[in-house]
Amino acid sequence: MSAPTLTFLYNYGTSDTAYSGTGGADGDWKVIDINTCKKIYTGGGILGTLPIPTCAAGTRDATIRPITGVNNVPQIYIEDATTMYHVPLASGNPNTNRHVFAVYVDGTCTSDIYLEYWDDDTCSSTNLPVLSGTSAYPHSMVNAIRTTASAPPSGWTGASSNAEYLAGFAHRLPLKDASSVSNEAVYFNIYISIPYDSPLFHNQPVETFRYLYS
Amino acid sequence: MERNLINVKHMDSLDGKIYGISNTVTMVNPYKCYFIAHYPGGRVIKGNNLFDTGWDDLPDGIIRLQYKLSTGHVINIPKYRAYLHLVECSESLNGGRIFHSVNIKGMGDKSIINFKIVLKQDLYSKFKIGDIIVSEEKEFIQTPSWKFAGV
Repeated sequence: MSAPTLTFLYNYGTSDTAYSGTGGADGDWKVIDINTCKKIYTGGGILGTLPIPTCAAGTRDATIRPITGVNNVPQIYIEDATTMYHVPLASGNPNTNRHVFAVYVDGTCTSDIYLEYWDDDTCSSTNLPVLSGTSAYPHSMVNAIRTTASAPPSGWTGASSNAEYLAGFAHRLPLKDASSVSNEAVYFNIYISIPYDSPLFHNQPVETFRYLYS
Repeated sequence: MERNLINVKHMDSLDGKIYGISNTVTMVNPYKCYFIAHYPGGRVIKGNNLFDTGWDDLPDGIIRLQYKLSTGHVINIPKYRAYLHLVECSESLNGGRIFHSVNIKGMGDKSIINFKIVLKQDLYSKFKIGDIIVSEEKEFIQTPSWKFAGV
């Protein structure tokens, strides 16, 4: 067996339907090209929300830090060299949308696939403010939930069942909750919360997927 | 989709460097790491690399198993009833890929012994390339990739 080929996908449509492809774009599901694309969390600032379904690459709206509680970053886009593509089912999180982001495995992982967030490609530290949290929010600000088997509950957070506040190896999220993943898609939903005592930052953590193969 | 390794583009014949915010990781050359399986009669089968390992093409009947790293380390695995070879890696959305370890699992009479061969080192970790972390596992991984040892 050789290393499985992972394809990272996002649902560009408004219909909460599963991916039926085998590793390429299929229907509303588009491929996140790891060589050219970035995942952008934005909105909730002066502009409120950015234009949908697309806007020019480089467009940003800084999320306003709330006076109390948390403010969830309201929009996620996938940005390539020229265009940002809105991910509508990720808007307004925490929502109950199930088929938002997916990883398709062509081949076999002899383990689960673990979603992790790190400071950078070295996968060795989680010191960025978005991953280290604050006094009032003492964990990562990245909330993610596994939705491969079922939709998330309303109002879910990283503390919910099947969810995690993503930060490094210790706080990672298995996307299938099984000992192997083979020729299938696994799903997750994700958002970032900005607490009232957050420092001002523009962070670029790295989203990684860890697995084993023979 | 391309599967180039943008975070090890400076890789030479020995290893690759991955530069982070405050840390630098040195990784083995994934194209020059492979297992060496010995069979009766002096027959030897070498694996390919960390991408296309060749493990599942191996026949049963291994009498001796070794693992060779691009750095020159050769790890000899003790004799067990069966072996399983697993590579641990991470892929990132920005195109990076990092190989953490090769896990050679040996099936004993009552437990599974895992030999975790470290494939990277950095400025903070106490483990270096070629270090071996031995642990006992109670859980059996069900996969057809187990290879039985020869007598």
